[in-house]
Amino acid sequence: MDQETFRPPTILPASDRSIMIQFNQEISEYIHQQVHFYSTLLLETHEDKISNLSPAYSSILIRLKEGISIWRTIAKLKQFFNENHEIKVTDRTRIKIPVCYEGGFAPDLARVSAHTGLSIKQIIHKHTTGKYLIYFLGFSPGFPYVGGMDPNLETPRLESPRTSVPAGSVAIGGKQTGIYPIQSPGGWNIIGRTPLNLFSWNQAKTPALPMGASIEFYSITDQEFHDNQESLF
Amino acid sequence: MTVIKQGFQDLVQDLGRNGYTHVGISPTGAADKVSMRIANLFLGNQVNDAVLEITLFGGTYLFDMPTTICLSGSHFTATIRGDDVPFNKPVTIQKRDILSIGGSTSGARCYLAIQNGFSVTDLLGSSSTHLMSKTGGFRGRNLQKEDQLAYNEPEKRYFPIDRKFPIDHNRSIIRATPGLQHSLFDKPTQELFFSKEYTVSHQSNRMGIRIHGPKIQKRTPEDIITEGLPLGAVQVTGNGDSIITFVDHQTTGGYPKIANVIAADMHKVGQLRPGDVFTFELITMDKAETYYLAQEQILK
Repeated sequence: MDQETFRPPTILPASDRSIMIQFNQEISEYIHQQVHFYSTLLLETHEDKISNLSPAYSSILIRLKEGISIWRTIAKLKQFFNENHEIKVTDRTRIKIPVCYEGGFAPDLARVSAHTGLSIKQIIHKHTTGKYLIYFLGFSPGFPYVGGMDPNLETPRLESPRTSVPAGSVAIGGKQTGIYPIQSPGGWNIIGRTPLNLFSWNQAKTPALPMGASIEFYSITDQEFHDNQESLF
Repeated sequence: MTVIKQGFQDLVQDLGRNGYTHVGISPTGAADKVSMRIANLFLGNQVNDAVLEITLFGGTYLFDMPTTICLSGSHFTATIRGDDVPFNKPVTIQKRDILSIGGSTSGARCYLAIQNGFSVTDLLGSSSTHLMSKTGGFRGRNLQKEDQLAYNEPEKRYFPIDRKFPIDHNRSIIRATPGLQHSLFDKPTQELFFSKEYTVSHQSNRMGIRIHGPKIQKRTPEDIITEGLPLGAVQVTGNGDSIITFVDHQTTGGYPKIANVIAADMHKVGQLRPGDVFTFELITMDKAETYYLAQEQILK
């Protein structure tokens, strides 16, 4: 990455116990690389100060450990960004995810079709030809925020969220597509389900769908779904 | 400890599961960590020993071996063998003693600490229950009738009985600093936010405390780019209602945040119950940190 164009992020208190690091407020792969690089580095180098860290599209939220002063930490972080402005970009992990877009696995496919004006066949085609990037994990355990969906698939979220969405559900919420790794409440349009087990509490630190990985979906039949109930681990 | 009668929401909690928000796992932990810590301090426990968090009304519990307990937090009616159980005091438990906890006479929660803590399977370094993902604590859920919650062996110990903890518990005033997106709201709206009363909604839980008050609108209709959520962030939703981000919160969110409850007042949020009325008081970040550090000193 070009050092000349790197602008140090804005660092400010988010609350009296947390610090927000804001990069350019845009959703782009360029900003993602900065967020990914620095959140990994901060976790490695500031373990004594950071209790929790939340990277997102264009920011990193740091929650401080007990007794750590916010102003002193902000000063140190500013110094840290001045000293570490060379970003290393690592190769992307590529993950292919089988999805069954049929029947009970896809309760909102008709809704997406009605909203987009696309046939179900076209929706599946567009969804499986996309190349997606996992920007970060958030919301619920292992939940990937995935970018790169064909804008023609954009469909508003459900008026009232479901209290329970099955694990493995693949969904569209507004401009985004995503997968629910564990059963959880959710308001996105469910268009399919993967038989892969995408989250394990025993391996929480090394999630199956990690930040910075690129993913692709491919369509499988109901029969293949049942033959392939396995785990990515 | 055997549950004879189930309470409204009895959860095993500690100080929380830290270090995993970057993979989407929220820290959770006791809703009122001040009271939880005080209960442990009265027993000479480790500060992070697992306690039982009792919300709105408790249950009836049979103890299978002698130990010492301490209740702290909001005052609930509580009896053993017909005698009232004092709060903020170590209470000796004999084998086969039955503790009955009734309703709260003040805030939402009290804490039952036990010598050396309750014993549940550790999940990522914590005993806390996370209800949404049905994990941690006791089988990822609230205690039910006939559940048997193990507790650690007590040893002979002298208890620090006369400790005083001068903590502000007045939950009608909750202090807050400006939120990350406070500038998305114009001056009159910010003043409105900090001057009017709010009522706690029945749709509140450990993920978020939903509050009804003046309808707060931001200057522009656009949402913000999804970002990490600080504990205590007051998020303004599309319909103008507000939500205080609470212990089981989603790790990231896209609603603008007008204010943030200060760390030193988060225990008050844990004691808010549906129908409670309060106001926010705006203070500076510097003062907030001073209050936080002062509170930490008291809880040492």
